[in-house]
Amino acid sequence: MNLPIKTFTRKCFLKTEAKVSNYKKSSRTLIFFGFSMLLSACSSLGVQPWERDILSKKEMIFGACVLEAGFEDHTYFSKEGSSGGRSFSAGGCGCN
Amino acid sequence: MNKFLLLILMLFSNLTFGNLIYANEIDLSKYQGKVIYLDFWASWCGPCKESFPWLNQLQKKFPDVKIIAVNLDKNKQDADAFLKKHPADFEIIYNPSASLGTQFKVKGMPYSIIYDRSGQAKFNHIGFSQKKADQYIQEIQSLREPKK
Amino acid sequence: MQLKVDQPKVLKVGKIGRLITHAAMALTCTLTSLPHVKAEASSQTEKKSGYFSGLRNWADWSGEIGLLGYSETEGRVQAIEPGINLNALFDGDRNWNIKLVYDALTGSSPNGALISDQPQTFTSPSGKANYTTQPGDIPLYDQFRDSRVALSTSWSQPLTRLLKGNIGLNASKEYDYLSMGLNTSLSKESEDKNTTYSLGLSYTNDSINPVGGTPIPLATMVAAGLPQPKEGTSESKSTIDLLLGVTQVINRSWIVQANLSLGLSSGYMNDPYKFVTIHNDTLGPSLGDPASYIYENRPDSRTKQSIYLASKSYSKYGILTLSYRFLSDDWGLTSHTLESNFNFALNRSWRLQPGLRVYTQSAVDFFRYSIGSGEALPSELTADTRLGDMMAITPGLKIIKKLENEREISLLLQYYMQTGEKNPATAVGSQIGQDLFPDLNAFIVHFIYSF
Repeated sequence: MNLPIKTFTRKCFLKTEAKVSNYKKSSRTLIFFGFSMLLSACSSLGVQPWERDILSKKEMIFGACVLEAGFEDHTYFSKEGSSGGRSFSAGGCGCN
Repeated sequence: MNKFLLLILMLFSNLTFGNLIYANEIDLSKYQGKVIYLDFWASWCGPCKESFPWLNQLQKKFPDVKIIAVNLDKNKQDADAFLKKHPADFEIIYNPSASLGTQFKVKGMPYSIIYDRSGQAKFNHIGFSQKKADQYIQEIQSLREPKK
Repeated sequence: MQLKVDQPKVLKVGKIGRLITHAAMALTCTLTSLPHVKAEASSQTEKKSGYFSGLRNWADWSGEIGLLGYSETEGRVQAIEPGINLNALFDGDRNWNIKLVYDALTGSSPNGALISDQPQTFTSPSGKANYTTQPGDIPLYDQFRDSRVALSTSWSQPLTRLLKGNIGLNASKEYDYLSMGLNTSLSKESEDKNTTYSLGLSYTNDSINPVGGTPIPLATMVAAGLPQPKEGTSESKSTIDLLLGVTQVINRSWIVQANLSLGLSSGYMNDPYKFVTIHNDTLGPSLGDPASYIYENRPDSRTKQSIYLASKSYSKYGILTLSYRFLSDDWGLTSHTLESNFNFALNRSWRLQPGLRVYTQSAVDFFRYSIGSGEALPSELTADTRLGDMMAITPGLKIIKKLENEREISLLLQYYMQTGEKNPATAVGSQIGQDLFPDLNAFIVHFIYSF
């Protein structure tokens, strides 16, 4: 039953990707927009609510380790010329 | 030999955890005349852990309400481990293919549907929160008492 | 009794795909992903006593306690940084977070001046003492034992079933620095919760009180005891950061994230303790020797933008995390950061996570190793190698022990290696053959207990 949706998203994925590569030369910012368009356009990607067993593991959650991220950011911030961009420093180890 | 042991273990665990039944469909008509609380859960789901003690209390408070909790884990062992930690005093149905998830259009984890005595789905809830527990009770209460 | 179970609608997409153009298709996709309007159980406020009020847990605590150890080789900077991060969860969906980090720093760091085959004497920031660097040594200033305390707190809660809001405050205090900020963010999940959009905004105000006062930009260093070229005691800087993010579940074992961020800073951005060497540029035996030192000067505004892409994928062998950040700013700096790690189980309770970080950076437009005494002084100038061309590699290994009830202990060991151009083409006379960009190597240890 999921099959048609999957073929659909695959097509959608490839098409948007082709579009992304066209923009590549002009600007990197556009890559981002292309990428996020790809994501928003194809949000029929994904899983059913009962298929989140793996995604609910701590290791699969972005920004789950707040202290570690903070230590790293602080170290690199004081030794390199660029910082930030990774995420909001907010939140905790909320793993639901 | 190992498989044999496993089989014994599985049988044993079935005994321990009561009516653990594999099913790809539910016949709710069996419980006609009863208020049914149909719950969908999985072992990895945080709020499901919270909901089990509450469901036990609910069963105790309203023995006439039929509670069926459908497990949608892929692996039975995960459900077993969960039930060991969070024992259930109500019926568990094991549905590893998750066909019931699709059939009942489960929108979150856990997910519950409350049926009235005539088998009409009256309420559904995505997720579980203690904050809303009173509301759930009120809903069940309203279905138990015949309308005036 | 017949129970009416309506089947989910199957999208007839094959046909659409063939018929419509790419743009229309993307639109269709977007439309299908629009949240469905549906009646929602009204979120009730707290009730005085419910049927099972005894079951209520007012706060569900979780958090981390950790320690960062940082040690540069050749006795440069050493740091110890203990920290605690606590979350109090109320009713499963409202969260209060508090994070406290203390940082104790000792050792010395480069003062910006170039290595030389001559002994070099510098005036300390206070202007009251001087210190001498031996020929061939990196000019370092003895960083006073510094400590820093950083405190941040935030509150997050659902605003609707799919919309979550967060507000936070943060402050950090060092001997010569005070930073205070506030931030807010919103995140919106799609109806199927497979896509999360987030928007974050933060404002930070820093005030700097340099030891010995604020040096006059580009002024020449004056010997200790004499009137110093300082023009004030306090400076400030403000920063606004904006972040836009999308997180998308691809399938059961793959999730990706993309963030776009913009940072606008204005105010005092100089490092008040950094010099730039003025070298002798007249032909002769002393060509390239340090003639004098001036205080650096950076622009008073900076705009930076970055793109961050990350992916987490699961296989039976383990979990692979990949991320890439591209950052560029109007100072002329661009950087690429690639991070990867692979987390796998050794057995039921032990996991290993080898990782590698690679960082490259191009210099800001006003970076110079040193400047000739006959050259016209540019309006902006720094010799801080942190703003120069460089690359850094950090291999690491994390050892994780899983404990009962989702608690764990982890030990992360890393080695940071930073290298730059040691023999730049701009080197003249006695500078040639000197190591003008000394390597920076540091051991990093994180020990974290999470519960």
